[in-house]
Amino acid sequence: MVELRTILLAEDNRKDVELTLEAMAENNLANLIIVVKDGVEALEYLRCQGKFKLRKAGNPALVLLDIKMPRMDGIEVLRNIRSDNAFKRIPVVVLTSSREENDLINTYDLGVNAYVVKPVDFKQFIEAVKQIGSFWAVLNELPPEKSF
Amino acid sequence: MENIVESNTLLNVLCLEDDLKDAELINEMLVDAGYLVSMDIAEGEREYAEFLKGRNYDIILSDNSLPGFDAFSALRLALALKPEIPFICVSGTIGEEKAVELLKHGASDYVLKDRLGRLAFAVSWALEGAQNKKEKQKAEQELIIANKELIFQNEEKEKRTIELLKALEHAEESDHLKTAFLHNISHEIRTPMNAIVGFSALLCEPDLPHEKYKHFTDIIIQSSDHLLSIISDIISIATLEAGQEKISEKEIDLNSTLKSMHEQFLQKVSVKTEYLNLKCLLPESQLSIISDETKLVQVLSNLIGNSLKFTKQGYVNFGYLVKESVLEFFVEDTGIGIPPEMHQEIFNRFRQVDGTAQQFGGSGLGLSISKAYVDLMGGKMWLSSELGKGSTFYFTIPYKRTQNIPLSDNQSVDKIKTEFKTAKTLLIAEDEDSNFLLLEQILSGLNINIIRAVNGIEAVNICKTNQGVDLVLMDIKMPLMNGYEATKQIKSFMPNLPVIAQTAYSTNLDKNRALECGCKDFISKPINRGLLISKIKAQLYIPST
Repeated sequence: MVELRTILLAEDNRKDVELTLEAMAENNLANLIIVVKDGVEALEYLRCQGKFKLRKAGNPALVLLDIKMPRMDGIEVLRNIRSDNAFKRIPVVVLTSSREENDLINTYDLGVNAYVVKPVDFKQFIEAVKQIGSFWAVLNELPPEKSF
Repeated sequence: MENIVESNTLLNVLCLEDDLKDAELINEMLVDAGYLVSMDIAEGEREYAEFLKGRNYDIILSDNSLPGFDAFSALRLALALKPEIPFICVSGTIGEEKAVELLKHGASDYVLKDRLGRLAFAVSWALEGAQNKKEKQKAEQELIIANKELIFQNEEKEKRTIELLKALEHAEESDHLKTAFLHNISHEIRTPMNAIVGFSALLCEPDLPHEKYKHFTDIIIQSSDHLLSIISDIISIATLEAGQEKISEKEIDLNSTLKSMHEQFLQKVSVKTEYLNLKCLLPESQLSIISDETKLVQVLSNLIGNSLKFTKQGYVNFGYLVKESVLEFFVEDTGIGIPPEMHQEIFNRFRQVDGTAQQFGGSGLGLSISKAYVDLMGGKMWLSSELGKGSTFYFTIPYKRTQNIPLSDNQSVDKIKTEFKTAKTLLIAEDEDSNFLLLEQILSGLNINIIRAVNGIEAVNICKTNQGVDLVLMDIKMPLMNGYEATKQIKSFMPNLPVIAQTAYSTNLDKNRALECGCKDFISKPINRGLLISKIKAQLYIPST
């Protein structure tokens, strides 16, 4: 049995995390979702540092990235991911409440795979996450690991 | 490994779960989320309770459907034993409604087993919540302590305020008393002054008949004496107030002191002898004591004076008793008495029984001075009195007996006051005329020739030129050369000439110093007559009997 790869969710808002987890569950996605609360923890997870020192090796199938987070924002995390050979091919989806042009331009320049604005409505939010989940974790073919 | 410990993610988990596979899964999820998990798995109620009592956990993860046990019971037990540990229900069967009920009862969260992806996240939130709660409690605790501290400081401030108010009251009271005192004193001084000024002016009248002249002069003298006594009272109070009053203890012959006081009062008040009685209750041989004679006499005089003033009928008795280590003096009268509420008050300054000042006069200082003196001497003063029947004032002083038993003035002088068969020559070194005259008087009629030196140098010279000196009475404090030095020099050329030191310095140190300089004996001033004669006779080898 092929082990399902994890999804890394970087999000500091508890409600958004709960909704995201709920949507993923409703989608019957059995992937382990690792939740981190800021950009620093997100990079620590990827690099197996800090409290993630003992985690099983391997990149997540997807990084869901909020932009406004404490300590390090999503754009900086994205910059780090894309500039690191070990992580540069990981699909990164920005999931944010920001519609700012600058954020859109910056993230696309940095090579984001998708940019989704969080719907304010609860049901629409669930629906959006469901779609992201089924597309990126199921439909989308991931690049082979360890081939950089 | 060190880094892991440092990264502070060690998680102590108590897992209530009868399905070990589920427990393993839970463990794995937490490890994946970055926790260093140390998990105790309880499969039933008993184990769960034991674990809970035994260790401190960071979090409790509880299944809901166990044989004979469920999450509600587990939560209740946890809240009873360790309420600070967050509790998460991890269950496949618990319905939404029950789960919400569980949250209401105090659970931190619930995670459905088919949504185990939420577990790590739920744990992290529960831990954060517990941490916040802890910090809040700590802050509240600190607030309570700070509050208590503030209350305490407030109480202290209140106390201080009350003390200050009391002090202010006291100061006002004291101020009030001082004003009353000045008022009183002013009146007391003006009364005799009025007589002095008025009658002095009358003396200038020409043609004043002789008996009137005599009468006015008597009034002036009496008023002057009265004025003088008021002034000395004021000075005593001032000295006491300034803390300047000191005790100077000397050897005194108590019985003779009291007898002379008795005589003085009899003359002064010109009353019948049986009206003022002296009661000495100790054998005379034991009555040489160490005390401050001046103050003792002053206290007794004041009490006797008061008693005489307020007693128009009956008697006034005074005397003393020995009570263990103290001498208890008493002055008893059959006078007007003192109301009970004044028994303490009367010792306060300027306090007299209302109306007595107008009727009997007095500054209201005598008793307070007397009491202060008795306190200084190390004793106590009190009174017992019944209105209309009389009063008895008591006071004590420490009973300090002298080591050698001196011969009493009145009793034994006759025996020792026998003439020397051959004339003796005495050199008295004494710079004070009055002291010399007294010594001359004491030694008169004993067949003694007296030579006087007024300082140490003269004393030495007389001894050099006059070989006939049999004994020297040496004052210590003298001009040009003191008694110590003079004695040393005299002893250098006349080692056998006896020298008796006589001085107002009366401590053992003074005595020893005199003896070191070569004095044969030592007598302190005021000179006791019998004692002096016996000491002289002892030195001249003539038995006193």
